Amino acid sequence: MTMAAWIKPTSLVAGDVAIISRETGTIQFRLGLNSGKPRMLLRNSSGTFLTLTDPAAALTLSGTYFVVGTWAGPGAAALYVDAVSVATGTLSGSMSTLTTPFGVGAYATGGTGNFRGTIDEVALWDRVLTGDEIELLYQIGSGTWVAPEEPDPDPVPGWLADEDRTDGLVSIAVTYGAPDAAQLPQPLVTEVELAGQVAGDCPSVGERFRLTLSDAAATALDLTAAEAALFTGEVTDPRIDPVRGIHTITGAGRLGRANRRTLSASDWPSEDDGDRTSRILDAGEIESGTIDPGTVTLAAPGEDDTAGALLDTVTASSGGAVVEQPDGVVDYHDADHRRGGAVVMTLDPGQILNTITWEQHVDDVLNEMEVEWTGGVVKVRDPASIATYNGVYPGRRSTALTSASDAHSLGQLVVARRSIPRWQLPNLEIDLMHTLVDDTSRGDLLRLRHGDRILITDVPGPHPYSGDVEFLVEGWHQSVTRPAQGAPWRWRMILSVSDPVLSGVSIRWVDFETGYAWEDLPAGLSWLDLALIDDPDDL
Amino acid sequence: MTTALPDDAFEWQTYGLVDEEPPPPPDPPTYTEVTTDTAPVSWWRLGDTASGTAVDSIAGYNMTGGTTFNVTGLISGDSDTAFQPPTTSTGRYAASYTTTSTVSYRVG
Repeated sequence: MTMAAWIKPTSLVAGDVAIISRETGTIQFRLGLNSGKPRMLLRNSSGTFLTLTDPAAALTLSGTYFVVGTWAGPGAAALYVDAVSVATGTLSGSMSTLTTPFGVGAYATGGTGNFRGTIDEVALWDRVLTGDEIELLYQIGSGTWVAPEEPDPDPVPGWLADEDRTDGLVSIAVTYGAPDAAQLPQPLVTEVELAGQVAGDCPSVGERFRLTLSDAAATALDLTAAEAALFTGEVTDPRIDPVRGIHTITGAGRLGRANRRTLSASDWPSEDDGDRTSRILDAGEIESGTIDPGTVTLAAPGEDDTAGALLDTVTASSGGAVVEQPDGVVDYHDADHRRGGAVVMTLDPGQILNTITWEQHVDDVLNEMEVEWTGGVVKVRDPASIATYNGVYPGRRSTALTSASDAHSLGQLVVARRSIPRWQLPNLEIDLMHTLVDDTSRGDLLRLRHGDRILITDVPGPHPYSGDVEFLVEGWHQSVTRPAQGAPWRWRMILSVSDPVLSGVSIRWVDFETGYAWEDLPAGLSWLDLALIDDPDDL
Repeated sequence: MTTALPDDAFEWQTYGLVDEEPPPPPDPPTYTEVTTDTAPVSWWRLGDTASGTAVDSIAGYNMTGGTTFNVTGLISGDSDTAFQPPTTSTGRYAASYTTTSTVSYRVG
């Protein structure tokens, strides 16, 4: 513990007076004066006392002093006057439970021990302050603070590079995370700490800074080199630690996201509940084999009849040549009658669509992206392989979950399977479906976030899912299915999950949209328990 | 969720901080800033302008009592005031704030 106070005695009386005390007849601790000399008394839980008294002459009347007492409990104790250690000792044991009165200016329990003078800034700590901390408190409080020694001239004006660096850069530690990372393909950097020596002013609020990621960091974040170079942020909380001479700034910014990239399986458009930034990419690309003839619609519906986000550019090409660059927005409604901005491209008979690319402004919020076409077969390009899909929402793979039960069991998962040849799928979506009698409680089914983990237990085998299989939730979206007249509502949540176990295996699936049935359920695989794991460390 | 990246994962570059002149020394922190940084468990500034309550700005263990408040504080450059215990016993004031702790402001 540490106790501290500023004092200015106006009368030095014989015997003890208390500045700070905690006692009920028996002292637990006291910081005071004894005949004008600073003194600390400590008593451990065994009843052993330690008394430390400043051996110097009594304090000077009307002088201002910073008196501090520390005790490691058990261990070293020290008495400081104006940040100078004047007496030390050792006391074993620990302090008994502090249930006795605490007082300032006199004994806590009686009408004696009055300190004569002024007392200010009384504080207690549950740890031993370091000598540097006590010195800093004294310097600031007494107005004797001396700025840290100026370092050598800075090769990069404003900031001083690390001693072991010659390129004018400073190594920093960065933590990142996004409050709602499930909806963002790349994380937001929320904290940036500059751990180098400081030569210049601490940056002020609102100043911009740039962060350059190393190749290793870019790889870890799955960013291209160009994306990794794009991070900039804005200082929100600059601070200085005068003891260590270190500036700490806190800023926020965004990594990457401004580059076009190839759509992968996990990047497929997903629905959202509308109040968060969609996890959909702001730029993407589809490569198609044949849509001949037909129309292709790229749409970003909004909520209900509110217009959705507009696409910045859409380009369709055939054999590398741009065949159409739509300009304008059509009146579009999706299956749930939501209206939004959309672009429709019409292909002439015989025309083969090779690619569709689109870009969306990085800061816009997309609730949903839908890609529809009137017929044919569309191939989705993936770096690893090509899969073939039919119908609307071509990338959706789902299994169904029903019968939610207790708080920690999401219900039962049935895995129905269908082979997808040639598809090396790194991701799996689990479709949690819940039937409700009405839509009033539809928000109570699940609350999952990016990084949550779910565990499917006791899967009979042998097959890739045997035993317990853990999935990392990478995203989710939810929707309510409009019921037929008189039918119950259905609440759906699609989880995007991944696990290395699934990589490189042939995933079998159920196409929820087309109502694919479970008849292909493998032998021995039936209802499975699915549990939400609150703390991944529990695994 | 917060995830730590590997050490030395990033490099810092100045951006909009160019200053050709040697920078002036930083302003000293305030006593409040320095004290706050040390994370005390209780802190009575004793700057009450009316007698009766000394506020614990950290844990809320306010103390009651006292008769001579609002005297000139002892912290340089800080307008917060201080208190003086009376030189004679005038009684004791106490108040319980939790079931396990009793905090009193002893004034004489």
